[in-house]
Amino acid sequence: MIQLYFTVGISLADANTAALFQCVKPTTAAIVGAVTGQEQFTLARGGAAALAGIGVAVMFPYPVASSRAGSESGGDDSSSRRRLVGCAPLWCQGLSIAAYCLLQKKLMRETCDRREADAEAEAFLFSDAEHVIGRKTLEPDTVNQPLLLAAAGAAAGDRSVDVHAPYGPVAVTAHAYAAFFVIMLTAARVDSLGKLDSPAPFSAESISKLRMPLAVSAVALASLFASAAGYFLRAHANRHVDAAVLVLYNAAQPPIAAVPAATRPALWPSLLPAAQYSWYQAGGSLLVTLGVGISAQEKKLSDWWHVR
Amino acid sequence: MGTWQAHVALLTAALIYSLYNVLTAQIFQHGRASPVAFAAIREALAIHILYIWAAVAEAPLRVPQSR
Repeated sequence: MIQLYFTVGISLADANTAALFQCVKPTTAAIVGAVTGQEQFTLARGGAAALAGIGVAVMFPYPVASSRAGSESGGDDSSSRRRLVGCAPLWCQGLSIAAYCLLQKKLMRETCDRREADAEAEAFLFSDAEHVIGRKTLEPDTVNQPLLLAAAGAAAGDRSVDVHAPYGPVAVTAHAYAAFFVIMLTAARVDSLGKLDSPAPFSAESISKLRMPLAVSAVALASLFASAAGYFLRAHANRHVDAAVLVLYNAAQPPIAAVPAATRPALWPSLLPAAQYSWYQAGGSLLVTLGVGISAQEKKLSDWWHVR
Repeated sequence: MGTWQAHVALLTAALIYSLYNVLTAQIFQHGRASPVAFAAIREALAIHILYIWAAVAEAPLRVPQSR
């Protein structure tokens, strides 16, 4: 759905508008987490999200300038309306990313919390069993046999068998990918039936382009690194940091991507595009880095703020 | 894994996606490959890698259930 929202949004609006929506993703995630009551909205978190968002906006000054120029010149009403309609799926994409991160965290952490709760309940039962056993020596008639059995069973039970085993980060990512794949196949089918792209996604011509050595190696690398390793790392991190922090790192992608693009001649001249590393990009990168740095030191900053 | 390792993991993921975006943009622009077909094949391969990885590293594999 995330990809679908993005594809529909970018086709209705344009790449510039889509780039602007990247800026609001960190704050959207922080707000969604706070509104749903799953995460706290701290001053440091809000500041970090705002800095990262402003950083991305500074890196892409063109969308603001071009949209302003368009509105000043009167622009085409139908294209403005189309762009406005396209904003809805782009905004929904940000919401979906936040919701996915929160759900993923819930799947991996709630079961952990439940396991901790089970351990506490087990400890309680164990102490209760000791209490009952103590009473048994004094008052045999008042022994609660079922409770004693349950307590003894729980206390002596096999701790390696965990009926509430949490979802692992790799399993969560694998299940999510199975769903993505079904949605992608549906999108491909709709694309073919509606003749939205030429050639159709799974036509012989389209597949032949993907058989070229560069495309084959790109698919292999994408599957291994972007899909498997990248999503695993994010899912694994989601166990330890909040979804708002997770989405904040999306803002770090443009600054990182600007470096290989700018150093193209030395790195990979035939593949990477020529690009200049402007002051806008340097300033934007600095703001994003500052935002990420604040999020990494959020706890220390909050403690320091309270001490002051 | 502590909080700082989580930040390192997120930074590594951001690095992977940044390079991935730069490379795929070039493939779509110059190679004129279909993004939908590319994504579907990428995900089909990733599913196999991830399920094998999950079965080995997180055995027993937990399947989503309604309850």
